[in-house]
Amino acid sequence: MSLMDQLNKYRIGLAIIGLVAFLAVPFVITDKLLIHLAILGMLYAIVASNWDLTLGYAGVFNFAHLAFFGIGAYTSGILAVKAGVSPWLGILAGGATAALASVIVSIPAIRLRGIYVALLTFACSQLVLLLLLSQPLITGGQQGLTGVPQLQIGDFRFRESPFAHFYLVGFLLLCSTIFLRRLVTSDFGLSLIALRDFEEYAVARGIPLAQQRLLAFLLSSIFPGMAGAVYAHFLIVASPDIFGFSLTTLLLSMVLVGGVATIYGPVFIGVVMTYVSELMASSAWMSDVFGISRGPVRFMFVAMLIVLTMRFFPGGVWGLINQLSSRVRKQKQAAADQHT
Amino acid sequence: MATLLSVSKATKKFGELVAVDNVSFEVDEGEIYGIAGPNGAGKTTLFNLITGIPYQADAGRVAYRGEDITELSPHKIYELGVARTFQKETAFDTLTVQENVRIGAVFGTGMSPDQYDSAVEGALESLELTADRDRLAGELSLYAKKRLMIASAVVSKPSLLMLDEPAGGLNVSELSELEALILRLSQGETTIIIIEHVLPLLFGVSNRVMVMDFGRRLAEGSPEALARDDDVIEAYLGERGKDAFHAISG
Ligand SMILES: Nc1ncnc2c1ncn2[C@@H]1O[C@H](COP(=O)(O)OP(=O)(O)OP(=O)(O)O)[C@@H](O)[C@H]1O
Ligand SMILES: [Mg+2]
Repeated sequence: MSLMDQLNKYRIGLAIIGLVAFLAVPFVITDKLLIHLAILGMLYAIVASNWDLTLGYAGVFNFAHLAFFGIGAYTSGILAVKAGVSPWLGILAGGATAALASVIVSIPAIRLRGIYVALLTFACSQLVLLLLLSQPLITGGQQGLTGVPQLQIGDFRFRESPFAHFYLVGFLLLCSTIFLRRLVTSDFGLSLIALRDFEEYAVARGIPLAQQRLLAFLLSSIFPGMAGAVYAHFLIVASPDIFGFSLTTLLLSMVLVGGVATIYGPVFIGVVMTYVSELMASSAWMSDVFGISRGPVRFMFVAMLIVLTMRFFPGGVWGLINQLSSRVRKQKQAAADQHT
Repeated sequence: MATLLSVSKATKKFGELVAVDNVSFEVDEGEIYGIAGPNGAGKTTLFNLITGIPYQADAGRVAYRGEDITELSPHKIYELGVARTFQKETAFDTLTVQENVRIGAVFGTGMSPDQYDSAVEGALESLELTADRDRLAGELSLYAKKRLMIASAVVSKPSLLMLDEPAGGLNVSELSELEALILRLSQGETTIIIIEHVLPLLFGVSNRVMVMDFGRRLAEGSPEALARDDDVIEAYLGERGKDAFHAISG
């Protein structure tokens, strides 16, 4: 029984406590920066946990997930700025274009293996970036697309409230996480694991490889696309930095440090890593110690964390928690057996 | 009786090596068809090119119920009712026994959820895996793993079951269990092709046996006829072995 199975017993109670605690956060934490980081963290957590579906469960070395996020951001941003489309529709459109892009990338990617998938998907995401930069009149080019309108319901403007974005993004993360957990515990999830662990055996048992991998890409691109759109309206800008190496590394660390093939790992560690990496960027001592400017320090730190995790806890934080909890349970079991 | 599988002039090369060389044979519905031959004869390669896993034939044709399946993708071949096992015991180690079997039932069988739930129970029971259902496949013993691989194939109620050396590494009592199981499976709707080095088992269950050597079909016939065939004995035992064999058997 894993930690989650144990928690499952009390799941209604825990869900209520969790919900109340979540709703209370913006009341308790009044520091604007912290709330801002929490919102960013939850958006990144959406991307990281969806990435985990392809990287962790399907075992596909896919590096296009941030591109889905970026495509969502630019889709909704451009629609709003250039065509006056409502941001709410833009969020849906962001999910749709990301889904379309995922199908286009996955068609060549699913037949390739290992490193070639990584190269292809990374190349695709750079291609999207170049495409965006090549059309500065529409996309704002290097500066990014500015003047993206904020989310609004009637006269209520989201950026003027400390709660609005926090609740909206929290809700999106919740939906995405439930969706992903249902997927990975379904027969579809079983088929992805089977293909990952033993491709030849899996196809020998009737699992259609190309179709399942394409579905994995498609189903894991929709929430990142929507999250990207929310991101653009939250920051009122869609920037090409989304496609940069730094953000990719940060998000990769969320998946790997959180624990591959767990979904929950990247969700929780995604939020934590956002804080930690920001802390690194704003703390002076690291850059003093290493004698380099503050910007790169956090990415050095993130990269180091990835290497250490892979070396010592390949299951990531969530894998470690599961391992410890099952050890405790076994000890309890052994103790109970001795008594009887 | 109707022909279920027909392989004609199948060839597969690995560079210079002709692993399967212009092999033809037919399997009738309901029979148990044995394949024998020394190591490296091309038996597994023949299974591979029939099922498309992991490659197809370079030349020749494979037909199933008269339909050309030479270039069909592996999962489609499974959909048609052809299920195989592998020579090396194979399982999804990080999944439970029950999940391993379930995979065989859910995909490509056209069963409804109710049907595959009960098919999974049936397969677990008939291969005596019910007690191990929640264990991880990776923790199983060799024999249990072999049974699991067969369970995940028979759960789909295949019309054609292809077993690649199911007896390798089994002890005497496991062997006789396996023999009983194969005969039981063939009493249902299932046609069986079996590759086996354990000749008593192979000759005991098979209606007909093909012997391969150096990628070629050397002989085919009833087990009784083959046991008297000099070429077959020579392929297995060599020239001197053949003389010795005749000396013993008179
Ligand atoms: N993927 C491959 N690449 C190169 N050579 C191969 C490959 N697979 C098989 N061979 C060669 O083809 C020949 C036939 O191999 P195959 O595995 O079909 O024999 P087999 O009859 O199943 O033998 P065994 O009884 O040992 O299982 C052998 O010489 C083997 O070394
Ligand atoms: Mg073999």
